[in-house]
Amino acid sequence: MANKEHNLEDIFREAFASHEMDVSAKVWSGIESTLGQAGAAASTGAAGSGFLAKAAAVIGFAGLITAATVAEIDYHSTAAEGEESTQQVVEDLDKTTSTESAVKLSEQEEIHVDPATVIVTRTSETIEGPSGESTDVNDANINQQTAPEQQDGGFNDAGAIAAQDQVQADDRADKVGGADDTANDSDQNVDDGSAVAQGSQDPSADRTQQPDPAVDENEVQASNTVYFSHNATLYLTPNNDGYNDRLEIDGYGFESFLITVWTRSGKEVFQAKNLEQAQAWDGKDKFGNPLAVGTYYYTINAVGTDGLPYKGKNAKGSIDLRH
Amino acid sequence: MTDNELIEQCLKGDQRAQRALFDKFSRKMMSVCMRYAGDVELAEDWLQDGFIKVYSNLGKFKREGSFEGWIRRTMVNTCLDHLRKANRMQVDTDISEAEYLAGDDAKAVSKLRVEELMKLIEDMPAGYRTVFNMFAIEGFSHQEIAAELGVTESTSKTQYRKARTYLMNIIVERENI
Repeated sequence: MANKEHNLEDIFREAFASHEMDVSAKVWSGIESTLGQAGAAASTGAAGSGFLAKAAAVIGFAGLITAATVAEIDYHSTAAEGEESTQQVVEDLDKTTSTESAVKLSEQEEIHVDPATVIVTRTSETIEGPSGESTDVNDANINQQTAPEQQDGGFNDAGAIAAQDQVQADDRADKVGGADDTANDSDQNVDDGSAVAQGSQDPSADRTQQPDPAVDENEVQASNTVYFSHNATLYLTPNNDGYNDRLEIDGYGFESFLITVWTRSGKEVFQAKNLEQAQAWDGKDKFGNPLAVGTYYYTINAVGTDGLPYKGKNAKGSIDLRH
Repeated sequence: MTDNELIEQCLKGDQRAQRALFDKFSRKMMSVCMRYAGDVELAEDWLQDGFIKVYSNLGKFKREGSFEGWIRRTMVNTCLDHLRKANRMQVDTDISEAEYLAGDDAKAVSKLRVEELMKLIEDMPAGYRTVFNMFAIEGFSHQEIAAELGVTESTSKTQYRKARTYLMNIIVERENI
């Protein structure tokens, strides 16, 4: 599974996510002279059109999420022909992606839940150890809020980690903020994010307890405002050589965000409540010690600006840590 | 200064804020434009145009999400507009589909530095380059690409497969030298 994900597309996407190039001075001069001419007209005229922008943006985001999923499935279908489950998903996706209307988007999102669930199942299968532990991890991937509590019993140091969670996360926010002048912004995001995330996770807990497909289809709506791109299905090489040293994740269209990284056995090793924190992650545990080389798992819990949970395909997956 | 403060100041017409915004994102956005233009001069023209669009549409940006993501999307749209105007979006049909010399060799690709990947994209035929950028890197669906380029979805898929084969062959050939 890990090998399949290291395909051409991932490598390019990841490499260019933060690539920079020199820009000659004449670009700014050109902009400056144009801005000078446009003057005050541009700044006053742009203010009122928030709603239209949002409507356009929603269509854009949802399309991108669909794109990512279709891309993935396409390669599976060529790389592993005849796999029945894959074949089925491809058919489902073809059906939904042929619709152009944004009204249909919630349906597409529903379909996306399926491949994501497949990944979770596979994840739990690959975990070595007692079967009880596997179940915990599986639950953890689906419902983050309850997961750390379930695991406390299994790991002596996990309780302390969970207790310090909030403090550590806030510390990290301060650190990140201090580094690039975004301290106020980060704190703001942490507060907003946790408040919304708390509220939204109770219904999600109910869903996992009642896995009735009929209920799911009618009542569970996935957000279609959120778009994430990240290299988390790839690998991190935190050796400060400038390549893949940090988690490269970006996204927009959400009100709250929470990413959690787990070991194979389900121990939580990292959590971030906003993008800035997540982007700063360089493969270290909560105490700043480099984590062992290997495969880790992540889950992203986000709530879109439409108040619905993000259920995109890349909401969970694996991270390969190399050195 | 946070992105939000920066946006506020830019909306008020503060030139220092406009410059700060440019300094913060221009190097990354140059990379985006370069991928589509395949030429430094052209890329800088498009970058300039893209930033002017960013400043004039700043009031439309919803503050909840990633500002960089929004800027990036604006840049890509600007590049596509330019390609459309120059009629460089047509899909190359005269290039016959190369056969795979070897299977997917992701290992060979992962060894390449980002500058080498950029060179590969620059050297691609323009029709391949656009579809490759849109699908592989930006994550557009074939449906969206079809709408943007004015081709059918299946043409987009075929074109992408060709682009991918072309690229993979070059990478594997180099690896074997």
